[in-house]
Amino acid sequence: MDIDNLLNKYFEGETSLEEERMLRACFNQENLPEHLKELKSIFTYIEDERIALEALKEITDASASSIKTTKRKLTLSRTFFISIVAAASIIALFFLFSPGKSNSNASESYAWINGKRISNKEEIKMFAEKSLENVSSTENIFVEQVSSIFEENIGEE
Amino acid sequence: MRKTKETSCYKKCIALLVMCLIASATFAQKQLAINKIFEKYGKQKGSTMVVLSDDVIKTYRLDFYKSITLPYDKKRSEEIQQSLEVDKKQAKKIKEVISNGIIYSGYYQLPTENKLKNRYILFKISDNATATLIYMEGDIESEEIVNLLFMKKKK
Repeated sequence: MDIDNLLNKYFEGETSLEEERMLRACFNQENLPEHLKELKSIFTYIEDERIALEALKEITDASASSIKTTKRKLTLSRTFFISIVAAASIIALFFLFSPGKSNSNASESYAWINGKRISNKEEIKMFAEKSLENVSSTENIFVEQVSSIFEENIGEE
Repeated sequence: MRKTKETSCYKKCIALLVMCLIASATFAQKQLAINKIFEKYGKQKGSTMVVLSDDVIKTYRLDFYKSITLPYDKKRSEEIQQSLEVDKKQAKKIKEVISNGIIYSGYYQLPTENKLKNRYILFKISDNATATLIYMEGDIESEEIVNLLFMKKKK
């Protein structure tokens, strides 16, 4: 089929996709007959549009898949955050309510002597005073050390 | 709209997480390493542990008092020395007598807590191979502690 017949068919809207592709290829050539040159712009425009549409389709496909990935990431990070928050809450609650570890005030006085519990206040007080006596010191390390240095110096003289 | 909701949810999660971490950190700071000495050896034979309630120690401007006197063998020595080393890192005042790398006596004033209580750790190894460890907290000032200790000695 020559180009003129194909053109007539095209303008009557009876061309197939393959025939339209042939027309576009034909008008893409450099050496067109003079009577066809005025139609070149129509077909190059159509060809350009086709290329543009294909490019647009590729972009749309690519962004759709990237949106999917981002959504997945968002879902993952939300789960991650909730897990972290839950774990942190459990740890915090454990610390706050763990028994026998707090330095909080005692509700009653008591003492354990040799593995036996005592609750007699006078006895407890006596043991408390004893423990204070144990840590108190009449020794003055500073005076002791300085005086020993002076004693050494006097000895040398 | 949905995005704004999600962002708000994340912000809430992060805020909650930060609060939890701060709470844990604050509480962890409150925990002293010497506590485990009281817990482990307090009720054992050979040990003397005393815990005083408010009504008994109010006159000394103390809210809490806990002491332990225990035989000072090698194992306990290591544990106590390690605990003191840990706790003294947060002390704001330290007075120590160290001999051959071992703390023989120690006075540590710890930073005040939320309730603005003064906190002290006292420690001493006695000549009879026993060690005494004391933890106290309250409004008592360091000078008052010194008076308290020397008053006891003078008696």
